[in-house]
Amino acid sequence: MSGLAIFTGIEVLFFWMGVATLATVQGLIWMRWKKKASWPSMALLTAGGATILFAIAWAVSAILEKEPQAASMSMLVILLPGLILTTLGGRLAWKQ
Amino acid sequence: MSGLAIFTGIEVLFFWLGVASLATVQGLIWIRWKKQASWPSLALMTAGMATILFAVAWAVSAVLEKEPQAASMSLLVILLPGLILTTLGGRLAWK
Amino acid sequence: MGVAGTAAALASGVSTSAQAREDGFGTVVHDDYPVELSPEYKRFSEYNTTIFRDARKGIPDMNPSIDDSRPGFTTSEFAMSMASTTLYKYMYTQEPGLRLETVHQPHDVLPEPHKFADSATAHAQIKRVARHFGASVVGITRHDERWDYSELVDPHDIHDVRPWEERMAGFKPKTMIVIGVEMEYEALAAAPSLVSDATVLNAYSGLTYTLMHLSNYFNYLGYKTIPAMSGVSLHIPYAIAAGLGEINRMGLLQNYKYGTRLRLSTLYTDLELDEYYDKPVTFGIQDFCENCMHCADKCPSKTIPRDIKPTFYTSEDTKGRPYMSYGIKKWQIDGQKCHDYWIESGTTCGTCLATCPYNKPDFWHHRLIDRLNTILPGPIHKFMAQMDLWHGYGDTFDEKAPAVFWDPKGRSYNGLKG
Repeated sequence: MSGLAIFTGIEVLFFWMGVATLATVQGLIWMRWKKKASWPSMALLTAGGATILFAIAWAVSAILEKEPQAASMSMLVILLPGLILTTLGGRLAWKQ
Repeated sequence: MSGLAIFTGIEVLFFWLGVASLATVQGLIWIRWKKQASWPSLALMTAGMATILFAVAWAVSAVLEKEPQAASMSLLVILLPGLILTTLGGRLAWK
Repeated sequence: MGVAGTAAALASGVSTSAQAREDGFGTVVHDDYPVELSPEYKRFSEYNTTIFRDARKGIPDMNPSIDDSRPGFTTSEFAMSMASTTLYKYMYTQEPGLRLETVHQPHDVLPEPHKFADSATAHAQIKRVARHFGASVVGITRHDERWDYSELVDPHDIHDVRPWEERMAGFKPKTMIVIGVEMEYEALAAAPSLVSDATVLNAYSGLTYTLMHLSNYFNYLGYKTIPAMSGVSLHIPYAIAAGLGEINRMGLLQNYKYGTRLRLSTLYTDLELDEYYDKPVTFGIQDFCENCMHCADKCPSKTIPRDIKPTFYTSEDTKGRPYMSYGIKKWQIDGQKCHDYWIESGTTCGTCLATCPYNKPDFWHHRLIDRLNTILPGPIHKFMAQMDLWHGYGDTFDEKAPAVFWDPKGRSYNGLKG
């Protein structure tokens, strides 16, 4: 999370959130376009991807504010549901 | 530049810089791959796009710190050279 | 900066013959004191400071006035500026032993003074406590009597002048805690005006708060202290020794993070540490100041010299100007001209602080430039300084600046909008 004493941790986090968000959106478009994923599976994948991104942002922010338990907890209560949603969506998409 | 009273201007700026950076990298890869752009033209476009992104980041930050002249100046002395570099690179690639 | 930037550099008359930094590259940590002293150097007397010399002539330290037709000088701005002095003025009115710049005795709580586990723990805890009490920056260094005034003036009787050792009889300081409190960027940008005065004076009140609380911390630990607000010691040399920055063209401290936007104080204590970890640092300020004349150019009283290099003044050079010290290699500032302008303008001026390219709010692009400046050579510094002006930073006498300070847009006072 080094920012070369130029960028703050939050700035670095939001930059990579931007990168990850665009990559996620592109992944979803690819799923719909190339894999002909159904709309219900797309909805699950979108919700899952967004939840995972939110979990990562929360966990890194929690570490930056020196609250490591909040980071662990966010992995449990946000990341895990996100993974479940994404997995369900993925399975639904690939089943077709 | 609204952050819904949740995100600060700087957070919003860095988020969109991340989006723009990935899009730029993908664009450059596409130009090399699909358009068979030469390495010199890619170098010019890479330098140009990096300069443009830097100019945008500087200008938005200057507005956030309430120094509008710094924003205008950065567009002149950073964005403009960035545009020139990118245009030159693009012309070279498309030639 | 690309093609246009290069063209701008050429247009600004950048010389390629400017010398490289002499102290090293990047941020350099020094074992020795990085400012040269001549054998002629001797301790300065507080009696000779411009403020006390003028006070003896009946000239006040400040001369603020109201002019509701001038932005920066309105009644509200006058009141804000004056109110900013509240805490430190109050703390000068207390009895000796309670007031600023007197010896404070240990509290009778512990059977003997507290011993920290080791010097590293002491450094870490003292600095954290100072931050807890509001210090923006803090450094710790050995007491060095060269940086104490030789004589001290009683602020309640300016004709009562006694040697430092007599005034502080019974106290043998060992350690100096140097603290700095930042001034507000938007307010300082309005210099010279009562708005910029307000942030200067408010920083003094902030320093008073921090100093008095930190002093009391040491008193509870069983140590004596002197909270030295603006007298007793020369704060800048102590700040340099404590690694808080370099001396600049204005003769002030240039801090890495806050630049010129910092006010300083010292706390004397008789706690002695086995080791002192804070060392002087330089990060290219002398080189930058050699190539940038903004403060000298913008100074309305021509107090700040335009000499390229810092120089030594001898006792001969300061003849007739006893308010100037000699024997220190630095840019020589004429404090009398400065204070004359304070009185004439009805402000404490501050244009040099506001115009300095290192005076910036805490944003990534300024941190980037600050870092680049530590490694770039002189000619580029000249270019950087020129670009700073072209970008509109460092304006002084800017009648729009108070409006930026007061503008309610983008500010949330009830917490509902962040």
